[in-house]
Amino acid sequence: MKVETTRFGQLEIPVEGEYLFPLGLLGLEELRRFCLVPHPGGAALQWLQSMESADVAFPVCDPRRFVADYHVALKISELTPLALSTLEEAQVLAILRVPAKPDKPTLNLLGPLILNPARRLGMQYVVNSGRWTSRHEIG
Amino acid sequence: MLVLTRSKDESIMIGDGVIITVVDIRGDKVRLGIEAPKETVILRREVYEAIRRENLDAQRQRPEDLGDLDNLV
Repeated sequence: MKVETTRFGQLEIPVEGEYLFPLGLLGLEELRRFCLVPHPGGAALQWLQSMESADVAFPVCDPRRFVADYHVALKISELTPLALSTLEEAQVLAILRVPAKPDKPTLNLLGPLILNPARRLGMQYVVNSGRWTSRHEIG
Repeated sequence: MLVLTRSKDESIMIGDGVIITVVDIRGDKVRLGIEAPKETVILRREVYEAIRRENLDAQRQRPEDLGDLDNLV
């Protein structure tokens, strides 16, 4: 299907490329349908693009590429919207924020995105640990 | 806002599925026990607000804002 975006123009997203976030993201609960778009500047980053709002997209990455010891103690009972059979199926992404210099880029490690790639489902998870923040500096 | 006074081990019910019990009171800290259907999302408010604010900030960015970040990877 065709998806209009303000950053990437019109995209052709196959049906199997769509991710459903049944609960939306915190603060943006009304948006449920997303797709992953490659970052124009490099393979390590992607954009989680809303398929319902052309202007809404988040840069996302595998947090472990930047924070090697990042670990989320997931509980399958807290991930029921993802319909996971095992936790090994889950993929973890973090939203990236790059402020103006000299501030350092940060990852939101407090509210990572958890995906079930096989079922094309996603949700934002809230980490119950004092160790990780929503603005974890990297770089 | 509805304000109720409760003592230790007393509860309030919200709807027919949520029960909040005062488990302990020490100084200015209160420990609460929460029973709710498992699909109910329960969050500390400041945590919800931090992630919400971060989401709203992050979705304003554009690909060119990411600069040379790729070189860090």
